[in-house]
Amino acid sequence: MDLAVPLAKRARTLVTRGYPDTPNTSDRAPEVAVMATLKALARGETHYTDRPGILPLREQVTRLLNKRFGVTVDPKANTVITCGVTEARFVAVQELLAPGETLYAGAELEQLFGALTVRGSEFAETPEEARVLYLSSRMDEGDQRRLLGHISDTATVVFELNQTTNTFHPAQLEAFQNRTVTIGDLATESGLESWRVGFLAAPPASAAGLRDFKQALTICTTNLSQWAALAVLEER
Amino acid sequence: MNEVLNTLAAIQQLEGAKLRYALMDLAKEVPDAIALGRGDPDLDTPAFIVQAAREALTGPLPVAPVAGLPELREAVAANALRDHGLEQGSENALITTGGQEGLFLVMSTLLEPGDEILVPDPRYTSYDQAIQHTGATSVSVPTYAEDGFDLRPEEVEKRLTPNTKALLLVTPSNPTGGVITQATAERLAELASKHNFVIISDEIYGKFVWEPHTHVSVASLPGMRERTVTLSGFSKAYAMTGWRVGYILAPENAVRAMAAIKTHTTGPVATLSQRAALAAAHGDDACVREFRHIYAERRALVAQGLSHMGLGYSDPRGGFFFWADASSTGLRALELSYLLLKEARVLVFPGTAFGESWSDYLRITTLQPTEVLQEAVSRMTPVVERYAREAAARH
Ligand SMILES: Cc1ncc(COP(=O)(O)O)c(C=O)c1O
Repeated sequence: MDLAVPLAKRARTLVTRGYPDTPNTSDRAPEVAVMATLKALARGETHYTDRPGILPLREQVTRLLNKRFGVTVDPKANTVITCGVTEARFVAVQELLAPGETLYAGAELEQLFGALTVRGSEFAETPEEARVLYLSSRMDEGDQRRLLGHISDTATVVFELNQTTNTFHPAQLEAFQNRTVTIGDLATESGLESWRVGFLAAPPASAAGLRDFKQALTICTTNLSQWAALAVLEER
Repeated sequence: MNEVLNTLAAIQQLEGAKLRYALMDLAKEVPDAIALGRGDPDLDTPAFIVQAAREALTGPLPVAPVAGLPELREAVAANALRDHGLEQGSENALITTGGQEGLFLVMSTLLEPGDEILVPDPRYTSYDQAIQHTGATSVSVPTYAEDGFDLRPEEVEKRLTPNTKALLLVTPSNPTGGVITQATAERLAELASKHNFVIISDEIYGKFVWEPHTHVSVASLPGMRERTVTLSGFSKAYAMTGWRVGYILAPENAVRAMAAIKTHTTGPVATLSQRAALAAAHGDDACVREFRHIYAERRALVAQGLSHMGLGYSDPRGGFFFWADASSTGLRALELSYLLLKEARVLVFPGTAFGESWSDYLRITTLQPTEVLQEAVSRMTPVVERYAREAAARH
């Protein structure tokens, strides 16, 4: 007999799209990360961390945002370390949208589709109707500003930091300072792709909800991965 | 007392996981507090597992497939056969970012809005969020101290409707320490076949069932493999909470669907963690047997301490927790745990963090070295005794 359990609709939708099954190869982790991991192991860093992640890494994240964009976020209350940018994106979509609400994406459409499907949400056809506007540092600054000009006063902006050197950030504009959630990857650029480390930095109004959702999803991010990422960021 | 009342008023608004975390945050402000709250084993990850991670660090660590390293999926499936006589292939195994992600994936994969899932009460409240997120409804099934918190099949049967999609079992249970007995499991299996629902069996504490009780893995009962999703992980079994590796065993169609959703939740589990988990899975579990001795000694100590304080409890049949009846203090659980933190500097969780109606109960872990547990008991005893005396005097 074929073994099968009945699947929910969202699961049937996503399973037909499959999932990446070919691991890519990557080199050995950078020496500083290896050394930091060995030290963390010697200290017994094998337990759950604080659910938002280890504080020194959260501080590195906020320093980075401040240095590059002049944007200020509180590392203690409003920053969360995630299992890669994948988890940050997923948590943002689940927490910032209610089922049925829509998201307008200026980038990362393919990656967002799955998170939206799980939420029971869809892409918006126009920025005006969207509850969330999704932007990426990969996008042209002019395009980002144009989309920001079209969203409603209550919409939230999610800004995904990619491997670019652009210095525009929506929170630099006063109107978006308190409603932009920044997410990003701390691993790939550091040669730690398989270690799965990313972050969420949020304005006070949405920070607690995002942190609680992350905790409900994975409790915390892999302890050793956090120390490895910290070592690489500190060296920079 | 005002500060106490203000803090209490604030945390009284919280429930489930949020309440647990608020108390953990409060405990951080109490110097030299003893944490008997979070289910995080204090023991070190066994040396041979740490050594495997050290060795893995000397070579490349490529990104793993979303469903997990093939050799880890295979090892997890092989151990299901070794430990529970449960025949599964690697295609039935999915590696998750801790059991926690597993429970989210299971619910997202199985439940539609309008579905009902039966959940024994009290419960690990992280399930609440995972269930709510799907739009399905949890239907609470009571469990009783006089049964050692085993589930009563008739209580399940009474609550079945045409919308019942699944029954959740957590065996051994967090928070009660109850286990599902063979007889109960068989009755539940019959009900599942007859009424066509899925059993989701969280067996994350399955290596810690205390004699004379034994662990029953529901999927290994005749006819149940195709209607059971088993959830487990390395966190509790091998003191590996920080590594974030869990797993699910399920019919292949569910594993594929969960992997598809997992692509979007967190992607693959950290490769280094999976390599460490692989060492654990390939081991002979001598470390688990050692852990069991350690936990047995601690259990005896806490049991004696609770009896001495005059708190009621039924002997845990499995897992790391005591579920103690504190009604003798005349205080509600939340207030009592708050006062224990302030006055005895010991963090325990109130029963209400595991179900609204459990305001007479405390959940107390055994996850500290014996001397620390001893100290916790000596700090708690005079405080509990004083409140119990005051309560008796009022009556
Ligand atoms: C019943 C139960 N299931 C699942 C989990 C998740 O643990 P982890 O994600 O560390 O595997 C826990 C953790 O406390 C638990 O108590």
